[in-house]
Amino acid sequence: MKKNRMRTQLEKRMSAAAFAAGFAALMLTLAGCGGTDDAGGVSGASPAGSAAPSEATLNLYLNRSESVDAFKKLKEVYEAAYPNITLNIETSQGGEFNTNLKTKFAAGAGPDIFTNSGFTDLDTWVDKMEDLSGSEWESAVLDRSLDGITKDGKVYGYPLSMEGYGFMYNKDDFAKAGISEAPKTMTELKDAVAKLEAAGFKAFVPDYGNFYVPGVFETNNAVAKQSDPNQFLSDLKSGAKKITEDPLFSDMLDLVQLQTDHASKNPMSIDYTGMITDFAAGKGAITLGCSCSQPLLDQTQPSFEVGVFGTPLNDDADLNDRVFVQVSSYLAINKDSKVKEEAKRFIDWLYSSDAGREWYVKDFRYLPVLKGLETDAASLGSIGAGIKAYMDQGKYLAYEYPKYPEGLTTEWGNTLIKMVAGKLDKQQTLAELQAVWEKMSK
Amino acid sequence: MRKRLLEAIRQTVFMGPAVLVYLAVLLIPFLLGLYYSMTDWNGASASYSWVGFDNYRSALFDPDFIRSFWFTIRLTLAIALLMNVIGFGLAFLLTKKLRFRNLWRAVFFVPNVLGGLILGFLWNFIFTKCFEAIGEATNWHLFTIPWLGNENTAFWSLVIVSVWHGLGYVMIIYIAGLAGVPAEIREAAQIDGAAGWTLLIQVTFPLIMASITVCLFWTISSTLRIFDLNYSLTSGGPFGSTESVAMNIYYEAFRDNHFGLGSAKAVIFFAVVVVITAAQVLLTKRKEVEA
Repeated sequence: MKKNRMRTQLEKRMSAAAFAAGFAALMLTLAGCGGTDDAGGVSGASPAGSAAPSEATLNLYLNRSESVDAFKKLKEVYEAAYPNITLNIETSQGGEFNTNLKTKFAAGAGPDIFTNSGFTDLDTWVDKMEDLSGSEWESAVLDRSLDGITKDGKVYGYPLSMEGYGFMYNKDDFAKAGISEAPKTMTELKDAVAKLEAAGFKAFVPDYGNFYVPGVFETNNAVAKQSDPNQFLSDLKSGAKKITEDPLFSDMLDLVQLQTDHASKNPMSIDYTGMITDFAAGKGAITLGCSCSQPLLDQTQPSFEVGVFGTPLNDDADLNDRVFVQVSSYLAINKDSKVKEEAKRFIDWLYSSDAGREWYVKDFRYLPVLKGLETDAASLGSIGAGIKAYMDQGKYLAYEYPKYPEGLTTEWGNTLIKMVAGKLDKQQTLAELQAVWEKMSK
Repeated sequence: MRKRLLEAIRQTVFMGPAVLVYLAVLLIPFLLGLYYSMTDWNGASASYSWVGFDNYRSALFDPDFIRSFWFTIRLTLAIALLMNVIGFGLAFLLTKKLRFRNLWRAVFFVPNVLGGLILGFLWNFIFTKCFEAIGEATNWHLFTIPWLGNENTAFWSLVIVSVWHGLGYVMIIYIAGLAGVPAEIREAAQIDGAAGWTLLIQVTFPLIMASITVCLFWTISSTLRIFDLNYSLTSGGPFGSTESVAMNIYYEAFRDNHFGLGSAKAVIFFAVVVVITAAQVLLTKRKEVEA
């Protein structure tokens, strides 16, 4: 019995050796194949690029999946203007976008044009991006809108979309509660909350189920209101300033607490979609809103009357009566793309042609980044129009969170959610925000 | 000699493709992962540098990584235990002569056919919307709590959905195991005076030990690597308290752009999974007997 087993094992081992030899031969042939395959891949990647320059496909990968309908229209309009070009537009959102973009590049199939969020995101991707300095559109876009995409004096992207956020409120509820003017300070906000509740309305619909709203929007409120946000961030980094000693962060926590205490339901069970749909269904009168929320709002409740006001965290009326505005996506060109010239021509068309501008205003419906581009309230939507009104008066601050170290928004968001859940008191929250900063900024 | 050559060719033809696939999708990525785990690559840039074992050091000192490990282990214990106990119970009942026996088996097996990602989104809706509606209508405490908004209930909601999802699979394996227990041995034991619990524990369990090994292995290894259900049901929330190790690694590598650190965590995770599952298989294998 035992002997028998030994023999079979020996046989197994011998055939394994023979197998390994045969396999090595197979590998060699395949390696040979692989070599030719690679060579073929390089020239074959864009057969249209070199052979017939008039015919080309532009691959676009964009992080604005809420605008997928607008991009369909864009494809139609552009292909009509340039029949020899095929636009291949793919979109995805948030974290998936970056993951997919990395895998696309790793697979050697990087898109010709892709979006970038600027600042820290620019640092990540700058190696793949074509230097676009000296393009005509540089002078046509709003001042400072290229800040996020400029590195060492070189411009790497075209500002595609601008968005803004602030509190949005249900105009109907405010009128019924007798609030004639949107709050400009914390005290006025508290008054408004009292009036709303007296009239039988719930005040806030805060999305604290996920890190995004607290980690991005709420913390930005405290950072952007510093007298010099860039200096503040570098002071935090050097240790010259601490969040635990910062009055604005402390005030910001009060605002988070106010929203928690007067929420329409447990704020930890509200996610982003729930926030917009609950708000549209009238379950609460105030919520943090981004101009990017307009499509979802329109789907839920068309022709819903929404107003916009700042996010007051203390009683400084001048500081608090402001919304936040930032270029949210830049278009960058893959520096290894075979169709760079076509890609540049596409961006030029987007900013200069009538058809491109019309698409921008009527279909894409983002706040305009181009100087003097006339938009109308109807196509901007009520949130966009509300934010534009603030912009026109110069009452806006920037998004500072794209300058945070990678991953900080998640961690800060989770810390704030712990406070909302009652796990941390205010002092502990400040301490944890500081501790998380120290961990992530290393 | 000729025979050997033929054998070699035969082996190459039959096994070659499988080994190639194994190399391409498992071994090479694994070795690349080992390599990247010792660099500071962010996943996108063209340049990166060699950092040796620094990533392993920072992974082991990352409290979130440790916490996600602890969470995953607790989750695995809860799920493996419940899934096997309930799965065995169902298998035991459904090998008895029951009416509609096959229908019941199908009912419990069906969730297994659905994918984890879809289930997660479905149950996310059930927990946040349906439970809320039931809670409003009946005021039962169980339905008024925010299931996914509280770390304890979020943990248990993962357990509930996982167990419900995997139950059928475990049940089928146990049914097969129970059906394989020879009737004469049971009869012999009964003649010897064994009944009820004694029969189950002294006779049936040892004889289905092979099924227990398989089921434990499957439940433990699949729960340790839980990702899709976790991602779609709680996305690690609230405040990162239900973040499994796989998810922590994914976030580290792709969201926070620390591909090197993420790879190091993945290597550590791989080693831990191997050790745990190997220990489990060794332990339960030793208890297997043949009739």
